[in-house]
Amino acid sequence: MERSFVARLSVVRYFPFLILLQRRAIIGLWLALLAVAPSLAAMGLTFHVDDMTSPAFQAREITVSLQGAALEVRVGRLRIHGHRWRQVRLSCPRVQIGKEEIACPHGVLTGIGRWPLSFYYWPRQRRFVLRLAPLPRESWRLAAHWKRHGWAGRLTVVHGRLRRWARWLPTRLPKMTAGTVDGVFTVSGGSGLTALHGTARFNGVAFSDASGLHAGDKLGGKLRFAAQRRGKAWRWTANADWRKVEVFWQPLYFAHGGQQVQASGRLANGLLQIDDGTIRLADVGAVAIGGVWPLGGKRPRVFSVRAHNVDLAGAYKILLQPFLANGVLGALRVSGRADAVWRYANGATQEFDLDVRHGAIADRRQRFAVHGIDADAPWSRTMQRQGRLRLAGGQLLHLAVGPVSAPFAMQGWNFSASRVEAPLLDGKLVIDGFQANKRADGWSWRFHGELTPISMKRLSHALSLAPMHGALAGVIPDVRYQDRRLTVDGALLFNVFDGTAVVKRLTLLDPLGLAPRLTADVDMRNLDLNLLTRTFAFGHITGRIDAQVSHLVLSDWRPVQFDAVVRSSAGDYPKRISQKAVENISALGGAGAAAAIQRSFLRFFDTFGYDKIGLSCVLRQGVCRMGGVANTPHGYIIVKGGGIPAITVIGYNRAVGWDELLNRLRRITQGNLQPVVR
Amino acid sequence: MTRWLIHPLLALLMLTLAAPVFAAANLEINTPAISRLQASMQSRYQRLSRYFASGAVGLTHDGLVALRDASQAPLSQRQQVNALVAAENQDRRALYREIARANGHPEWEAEIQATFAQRWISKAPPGWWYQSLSGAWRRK
Repeated sequence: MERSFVARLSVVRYFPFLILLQRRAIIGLWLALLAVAPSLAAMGLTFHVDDMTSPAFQAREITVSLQGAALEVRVGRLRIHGHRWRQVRLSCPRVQIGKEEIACPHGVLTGIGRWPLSFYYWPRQRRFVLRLAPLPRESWRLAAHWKRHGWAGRLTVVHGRLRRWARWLPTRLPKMTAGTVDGVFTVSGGSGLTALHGTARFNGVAFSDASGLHAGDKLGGKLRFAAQRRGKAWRWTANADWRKVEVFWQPLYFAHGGQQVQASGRLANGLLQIDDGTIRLADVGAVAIGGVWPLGGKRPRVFSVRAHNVDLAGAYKILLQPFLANGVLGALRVSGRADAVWRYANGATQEFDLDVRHGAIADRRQRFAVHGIDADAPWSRTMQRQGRLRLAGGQLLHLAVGPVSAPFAMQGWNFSASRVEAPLLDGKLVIDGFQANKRADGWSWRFHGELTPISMKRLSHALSLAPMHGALAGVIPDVRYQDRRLTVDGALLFNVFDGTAVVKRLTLLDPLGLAPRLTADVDMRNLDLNLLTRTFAFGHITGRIDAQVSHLVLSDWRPVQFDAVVRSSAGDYPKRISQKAVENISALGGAGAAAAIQRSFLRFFDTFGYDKIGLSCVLRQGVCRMGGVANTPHGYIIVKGGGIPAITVIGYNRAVGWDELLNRLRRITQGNLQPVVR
Repeated sequence: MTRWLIHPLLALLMLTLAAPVFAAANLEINTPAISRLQASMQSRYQRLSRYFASGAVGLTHDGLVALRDASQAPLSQRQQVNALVAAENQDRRALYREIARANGHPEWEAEIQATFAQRWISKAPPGWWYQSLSGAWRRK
């Protein structure tokens, strides 16, 4: 214990800077011994130290032996930053010990690797030089000198292999696996460290942590840093210019060089302060940063970002998309330019101002797209602010929308807009009382409004449906979106096919998700069959029908459940059905009608009279349970004849697969319907 | 002491009551959304399977997939693997939700997810990695 204490005193007295460079304390120890006992060298000297410790360093079972001209230092167990070695040995077969110079021109260090080295110490000048040359072209040269009021050290590296020091770095950091460094690093001080300076050039650097989530390869660039102590505070500057980069830092990936960082600031009282910083990211632009970090803390105390004329395409691809991969905004094509300001403090965003110019976004799944975005959102956590949003146009679920101009108000995470008019195809969607707010479980919003007439022809074309006639217009009651569910309170009222359609109990789950699911009840009255049958090229039917579709469920916009009943509307109106329409209605249940007509005198008539038309379908588990106007002993009446000539169509098949029914609608096929002519 | 006994008994009772209800779930049910999700997962399988085989990606005990050991994929592909894992999990979550809804019981989603978790693991080829209930990774 006492011997250990003596060794420490020697280190402090002769090599005070080594207190700060504790990794090299072992070198200091044996140099100190040589300095205080040169006259003993000829006699032979063996000196034991039980252990030397510091928070990052521990050496045990140290033996310093000087026999004639041979110096040997053995360390039984060595631990640096959690890494351990055994039997580390420094051998110097021809040490030269004089009053003017102590020299070891041909030493070797083994146990960590096998490193040839040399060192020189000039006691009068108080200068020391250590040179490691692990490989012929590789050199690590440390020169140090100290005077009464100060000391300085200089490390010059030529083609230094970084991998060599990988085991010396803290284990929590990613491990260096390749790369070289050339550079000069200087330190100086008095009673403590007062200045640091370094310039270095890196080449072919590779690193990775154990999980591979933080890794880089083929990194090349220049690094400069300087730090000066003033009283208890440090002023520092740093500059990094990475010409070649391939880094994956979960979830970000930088594939190209051209990344630059410049920063300067202060370090005092355990706080790292960035006064003036600039990050230049290739394909994105320059971002000014500033802030204060507690050393060793995970989050900044204060942080600000100011970006000017940033390329939104690059910013989205490199910085935003990796974080949005799980959401609706995870797969977009983005373009445009933006200025952005972000201020973070006290663990939360305090302000941001996003100013977008000529922006455009398009969902790669083609669910939505917007172009000509011109927006300014000067948001504050505590203050009420006004923003504006202008869109030249876009599409939502294949429906053309815009242009839209929407001033809006922000109060924290509550957004509101009093009235927004969005042209929708040839009509207009008017949104009143829009309110959105961010909650713990995500965004929720609500509005009410109206839909001014949209041509059914354009709507059906946009939705890739059969061309329809008429117009769609209606009142939109309260629409709410929360927890991925869109709900319409009240009834949506539309005018279609010269009749009315009322949609009630409409809910839409995951409207922009992967499995959208719609549920609703639809009640249609007095639809003009003439318009309807013309639309679907179903043959010609004159008359009017009511259609009730209750318990409707659409999965991915296709029906999987409903109770549908179609009936002739009440009232007095002409009722005629064409031969082609009879054939097609028949074909819904099977063939036979066409052949029967052709066999009878009815083939001479183009149209027939009817009294009622009715068809029902209860769709469950892919099967449609069918019914008609009335039952017969073996089937159900779909068209009940009336007038001259009259025709009645009876269906016999009560259970039809839904897909099969759709196929029959698409192409007329065979079946078991037989017309009964009266 | 009684309290310690009652809790497991209650849990057991709830399980026995819940099991027959859940047993009625049709896991093979089909809807357009399920077909679309299955097609989406099928088209991704080719790209994802080599990362399963290399051990970069593994099956989690809750019916999802996770980046297990990114170093098994080349650096330039790790973000892509990340994106594949995120997309696969989006599809899987949507699939479990849709199957529960198609059965008319959205509240069964968690049980359906747990059942699928066992299925994925039992059907996985040898050499793939999966997560045990304790969260430890094991190789099949």
